[in-house]
Parts: sequence; structure tokens; C-alpha cells
Amino acid sequence: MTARMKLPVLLSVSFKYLWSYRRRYLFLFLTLAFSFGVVTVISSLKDGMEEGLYFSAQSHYAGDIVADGRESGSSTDHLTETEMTAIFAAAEAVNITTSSLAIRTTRSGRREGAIYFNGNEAALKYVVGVDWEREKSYFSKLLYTGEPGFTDDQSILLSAPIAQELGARQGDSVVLETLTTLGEKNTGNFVVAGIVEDSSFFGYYKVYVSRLTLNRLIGFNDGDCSLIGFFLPSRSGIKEKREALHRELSSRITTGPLVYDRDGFDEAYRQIESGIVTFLLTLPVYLSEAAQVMDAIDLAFLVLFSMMLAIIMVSAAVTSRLILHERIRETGTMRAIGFYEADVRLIFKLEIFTMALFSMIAGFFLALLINVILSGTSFTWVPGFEVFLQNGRLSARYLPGTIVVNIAAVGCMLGLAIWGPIFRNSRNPLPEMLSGGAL
Amino acid sequence: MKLIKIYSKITALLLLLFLTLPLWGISDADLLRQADNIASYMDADFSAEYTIIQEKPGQGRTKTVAGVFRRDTKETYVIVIMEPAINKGQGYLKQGKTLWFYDPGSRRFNSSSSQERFQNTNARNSDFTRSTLAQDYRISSGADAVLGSLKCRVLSLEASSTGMTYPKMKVWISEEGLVRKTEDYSLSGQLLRTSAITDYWFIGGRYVPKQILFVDALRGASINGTFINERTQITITKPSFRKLADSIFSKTFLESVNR
Repeated sequence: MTARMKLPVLLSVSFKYLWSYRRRYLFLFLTLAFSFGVVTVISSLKDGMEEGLYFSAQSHYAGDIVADGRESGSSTDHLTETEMTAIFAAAEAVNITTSSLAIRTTRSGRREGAIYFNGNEAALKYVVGVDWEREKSYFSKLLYTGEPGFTDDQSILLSAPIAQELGARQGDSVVLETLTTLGEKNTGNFVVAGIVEDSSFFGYYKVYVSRLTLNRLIGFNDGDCSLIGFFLPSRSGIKEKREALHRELSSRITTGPLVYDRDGFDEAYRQIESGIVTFLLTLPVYLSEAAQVMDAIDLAFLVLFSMMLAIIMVSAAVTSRLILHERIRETGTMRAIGFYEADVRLIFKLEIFTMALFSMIAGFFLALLINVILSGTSFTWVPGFEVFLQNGRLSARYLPGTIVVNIAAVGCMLGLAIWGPIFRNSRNPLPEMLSGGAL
Repeated sequence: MKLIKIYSKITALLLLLFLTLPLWGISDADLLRQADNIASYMDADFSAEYTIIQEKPGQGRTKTVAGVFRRDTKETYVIVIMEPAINKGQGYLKQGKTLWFYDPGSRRFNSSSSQERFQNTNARNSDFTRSTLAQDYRISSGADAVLGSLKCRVLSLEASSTGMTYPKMKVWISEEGLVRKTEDYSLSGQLLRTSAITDYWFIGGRYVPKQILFVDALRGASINGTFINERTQITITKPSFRKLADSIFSKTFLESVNR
């Protein structure tokens, strides 16, 4: 009998055995299904959280590619009309298509502003000047406490922690204090148009006002800005697009070098001697700030993943040993009627891996169920967790690569756990096996 | 001794005469320069004990006691915190345009800014240095006014040099040429802070404020339906114009205070 002819027979035998011993396999089936389910939940949530962080960062830093103007001796990012015209012309020349565009003026730093209401003060880390109309779609996606009101040049959007610190509600009049580019204090009166539910490190100390009003407050020309953000329709080819834009832009205005992380950016900024230098940044440059958070998530994922794999290995080793012990006479009989050792081993392996396949399918459905429950739960009450959420909810991502890795890892653990007992079982002397001797 | 006392009194009288007489005759710019000169001690070192009471409505009072040492000729000062116990030993050293803050806990010096609040009060670090109003601001208008029982000249100022914390100010200068009240404004004209100097020491022919009251226009709280502003009162005692050792105006001094 050739191997090609033998395999269907062995498969059929193994399925029959699997069905006959289904009760014996139940414990291992449940353990594997649960463990694979947990592993899938963890990995899909991790991928979802990373995606959430990317989206949060994309919203905060205004795009996939950001043109940021830095000026020697100034802490304020600044692009004048000259740089802005050059950036738009360069983007057109290299055919950068965008799904949306953000033009913002930002004041960010240790204490670049404060907001006052009814005698209370809240220090601000980010004062962001936006074009309400241009970024309508972005603001419609934010989570608000209540229904946000109409926004104009006198409107301000506060983060929920800031509003709580001030005791301010929608419709209240607040005073925003900031520093001009020359370091003078300047103030403006604003009406709270909405309160944004964001207590993440991107949004905690943040307010949004009109770009025109902020420009006037800090002493920019009306049309100036700090950055221009390009939201691209797809994440593929961002690196190449940035390089092409950089080449084109460098022929028009002074640009900084292409930098790949925050340290590189800071170093390049220190080397500016005079005038405005435009940098083209991508999110990984900014996100190197959040690298520690991501490392912590990865570590927690690895610990949980390892624990689950250990559970799988121990359960599989114990269960398979028990099953093999119970079936030792049967194995002996199979050997006595002419089955080769390798065939006997293959039957057992096929049994267990078939069962594992079904349990992983069950585990995947279990993961889907758990993720549906988790995504229906609000986690906005966890301080700083918003940065990982999408629309205030945990979002799972089932990346094919991650699922294949999970299946491979579970398969490997299972293989390692059952290989030893199966091998020993098939190698026992025939008389001992037929008499029900030890494994 | 008697001769010195008589001499001091005569000098004071002459100075008063000198200060009061020209009020009607000198320009606003000269008046502002004169006010600066009175609050600057270019011919001597200055030291005093400052008791700073910070009152936050609804949150009670906090008291800070500090030793202040000034050498205006070198544009330097040193402040050593003596109370409360938790901040004891903290210090500030201004050398030229750099202001250092020393924390004995970490034994480190960190650069600070003159614009920052002093020990979380309504006073700024810049309030402890000599007055340079005539240098930093230009007068946009002037008018006569009465402040309590004092006849004053109110000068509206606008920053002429860059980087001034308050780009607009109003200063009340009394007949003697002493600053009695100031109002600090933002660029858009919002009142941010009011300060009042009700009384002065007169020692060795020089004027030293006895009490300075800072009232924050934006910070405060509503108590029983009435808005009460946050305020800081500085009481200056033990003023002295004795020469100070050069070693006081150094980082080593701040470190040694804590040993």
C-alpha cells in the first residue's frame, strides 16, 4: 500500500477514533478552544489598540504626512504664506492625493496657556487653532459630552478633564490666556461650544479654537499656520510620498532633513541657524513618544500569550497521556494486525490535530463573542485609555498574519506536548501493550 | 550719632522736597524714570525679610517667609525660602538674565523664568528685582488722579522691549515719585493683576515698600455668591542697606544654606 493510498484510510480511522473518544477529548477541546479564544482576543485587541493609537495620533498631529515649520529661537511652530504656498505647490507637483487636509496653528509646550472660568484656572498643554469648516468631518467624529454647539471665531472646545477642572459647561464664557511669539501675555474671551470626551495624553490638556483667532492672539498673520497635515487615502507608500514631497519642496524653500524619530527631529531642530525651516514628518516620528506605551502593551501581550501557551501545553500533555494509556490495548491490537509504528503515531496525531482544528475554530468564535461584548462596553472611564479607543470603544483587528502566527504557535505547543507520549506509546513492546502495561 | 540722625533727616527732607516739587514741572517720562530710581538701589546692597501670605478664597491661607538679597548694580538677587518647613532651603538666584531655582530635595539647579509665579503665589519672580519701567515701556498717556488721600499721576504704559510678561500697564505714581498702584494688562487689554503699595519704609534716604498687595483679576472663587479674587500680600521687614558678601550671590551659597 503506497503512502498516497494509506493516508485516506488513516484519516478515516483517526476520525472514527476521534468520534468514539469524543468524551475523552472534551476537556482538551474546551481547554484549547478557551486558550485559543483568549489568545485571539488578546492579539486582536492589541492590534486594535495599536490602530486606535495610530488614529489618535493621526488626529492629534493632523495627518499621515505633516509639514511643520520650525523657527530658530522660537518655541512656536510657524509657516508663513511663503512656506504654505510652496508646500501646496510641491504637493501638487508630486501628485499627493489627500482624503482631507488640516491647516492648524498650535501652541504646545510645558505651559503655553491657561484657561480661566469663574476664578478657576486650568493649565493647558495644547492650544490648537483649526479651521472649523475644513475639519468639520474630524470634529463630527469626536465624542462629546452632550450635543456640541455651533462653532465660530469666538468658540472654544474644551477637553472633559479641563471642563471639569474649571467647572465650566457648554455655553459658558471663559478666558483663554496664552503667550504671543514675543512672550507677552495675551487673552481672549471664548464661549464653550462643546466638551470633548478625551482624557488621553493627547487630549487631556487640550483646547480647540479658531485658527484665525489664535493667530491674532499669538501675533501671527491671519493666514499663517504652524503645520499643514495631509491625510492620505491609504497608508501604503507614505515613506515614498514623503521622500518625493521632500525632494520637490527642498527646491522651493528651506527644508530640514528627513527624520525618523523624535530624537532625530529634536537634533535637527537644534541645528537651525536662522529663518523658518520646514520639516516633513510622519506619524512614527511623533509616535516614538508613545513607544514606551506600546512596549508595555507588547510585554503584557507576550506574558499573557506565554501563559496561555503554557496552559495549552500542560493540558495537551496530560490529556493525551491519559487517552493513550486508556487505549494501550487497542494500540497493541492495531500493531498486532499489521499497523506500522509510524501509522499508529500518525493516527493519534491526526486525531489530536483534527480535534485542535475544530477547537481553534470554536475558540475563534468565542473570541468574536468576547470582542463583541468588550466593544459594546465603554472604557472612557479608564483614565488615559481613550488614546487606544476608536469612537470610545475598544476595537479588535483580525489581521491574517497574526491569526496564522497564533495558529502556528498553538500547533507547535500542541505538537511538542503530544509528540513524546505518542512516540513512547507506539514503541512499547507488543506483549506489554496487549496486557495493558504502562505507557 | 546725633549728627548722623540730623543729617539723615535733612537729607530726607531735601529728597522729599526734590521729589515733590518737580511733580508739576517734569514730564511723565522723567516721573517714570524717577519712580524707577527710587525703587532701585544702585548705590548699595539690599536685604530684607519678606513674609508672603497667599490667600485663595475657600482654600485658606499659606504663609511663606523668605530672605531676599539684592545687588541692583549687578542685576542679581538671591531669595532663600525659610518657611514653610516643606519648602525650606529652596532658593532663587538671578544672574544677569538667567534665573536659577534650587531645590534642596534633588540638590539640583533648574533654570526658571522671571515670568513664572513665585512659589505659586500671585507674585512673579520679576517682582523681586529692581524696577525698569522707563526702560521697558513707553508712555501712551498720562492723567492726574486721586488714590485715596494721595494725589497721583496715572501713566498708561505699553511695552517697548520684547518679551515683557505684561504688554500693557497702568502705574499710579504719587507726588513723592513713589509707585502706589499698578494694573497689569494682557495685549488685548484684559486686566490680569492689580498691585498696591500702601506704605514705604524710609531708611538711610531710600524708600522700601512696607507692604505690597497683589490681586489676581482672573483667579478666585465665588463665596456665598460674591466673587473674591485670589490675593497675595507681601510684608517686608528688617530692611537693610548694609554691604553683603559677594559669596551670597552664588550657587554655592544656596547649597551651603542647606548644610
